[in-house]
Amino acid sequence: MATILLIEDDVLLADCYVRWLASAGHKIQHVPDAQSAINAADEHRPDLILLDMLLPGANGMQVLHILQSHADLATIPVVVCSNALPDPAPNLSAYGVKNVVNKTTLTRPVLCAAIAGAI
Amino acid sequence: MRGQKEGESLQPLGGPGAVIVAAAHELKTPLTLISHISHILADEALDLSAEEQARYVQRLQLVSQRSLRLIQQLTMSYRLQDAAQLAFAFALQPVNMREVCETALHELTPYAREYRQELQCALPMRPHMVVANRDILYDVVINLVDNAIRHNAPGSAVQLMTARRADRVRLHVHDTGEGIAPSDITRLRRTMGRAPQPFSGHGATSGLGLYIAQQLAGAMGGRIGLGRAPQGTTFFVDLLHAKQLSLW
Repeated sequence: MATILLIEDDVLLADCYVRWLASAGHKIQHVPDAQSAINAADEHRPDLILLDMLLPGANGMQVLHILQSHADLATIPVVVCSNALPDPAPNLSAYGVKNVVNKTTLTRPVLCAAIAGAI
Repeated sequence: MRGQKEGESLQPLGGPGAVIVAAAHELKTPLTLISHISHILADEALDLSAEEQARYVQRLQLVSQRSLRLIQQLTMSYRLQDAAQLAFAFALQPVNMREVCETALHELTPYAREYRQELQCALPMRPHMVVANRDILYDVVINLVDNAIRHNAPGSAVQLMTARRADRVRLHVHDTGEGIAPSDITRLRRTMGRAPQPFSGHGATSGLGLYIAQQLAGAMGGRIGLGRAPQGTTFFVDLLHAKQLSLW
């Protein structure tokens, strides 16, 4: 099972994702904003990052840019979880994104499958 | 750049379409949350305890109430734009600001607790009376405090204070969150109330709540503004001071 850094600014949504991922045996660290995310990724080197795109301060895209600018963080796989992506979702693979999930239709099996497919 | 595409949906729009886009955006998060929690409650694999089930049910209720409040306020805001309806819609009278704030905070306390927020009311014992409609002022206070709760850092507080300034009473709603980007402050001060104005530093906000609050305050002869704060964000509502005592 994996250690996952969850970046989500809504604490109630974050609680749902923690509940779902913990049930699959993953260990989750939750942070609410971009700066905390970069610090946590640098300090703990998670196996995967689950990233919301609309965040206070720097947004998810800026987080991806920062991760890619550090060689040791650029290899961490990312799953994007957002309710504001255009349809169809853009190809973010160049930014280390392995999967993109639509927050509004997300369920536990879908999220766990996206995580499993990205690690 | 691809990253800008996501933000584009939050750019200010002109006309009535702006309100529709902002409302759709604002309702996405609570509806997503309702969907997620419903799945959690129905998921036998999660093996929730009775206590956990009760907590999720309470969250469902709180988030549903918030969504319904938003829809109700949108409707009210729309009706108040019609001058003919406005004249008959409500009467202005002396209203006790402290009583309205305390009642609003009481209603929002369970919601704030879920977001790990403390609500603090630092209003003077001698009440400030304002010229208002109680129900509409209540909606304005609920709106500003709800906005502060959702954009404050977990473990911090939302504070309410009042100050008398000449013939006006100003209610401050202060949060200690990240604050609004300086580049957005001038634009917000200039355009507040014309249309929902998205701004950075407050997460995924569309500015709809502030737009509605401004519509409601404006209908009572008041206004919403953005104050100065060394940390976090302070929004305020100015209303005319009422010299006549309230009957309740």
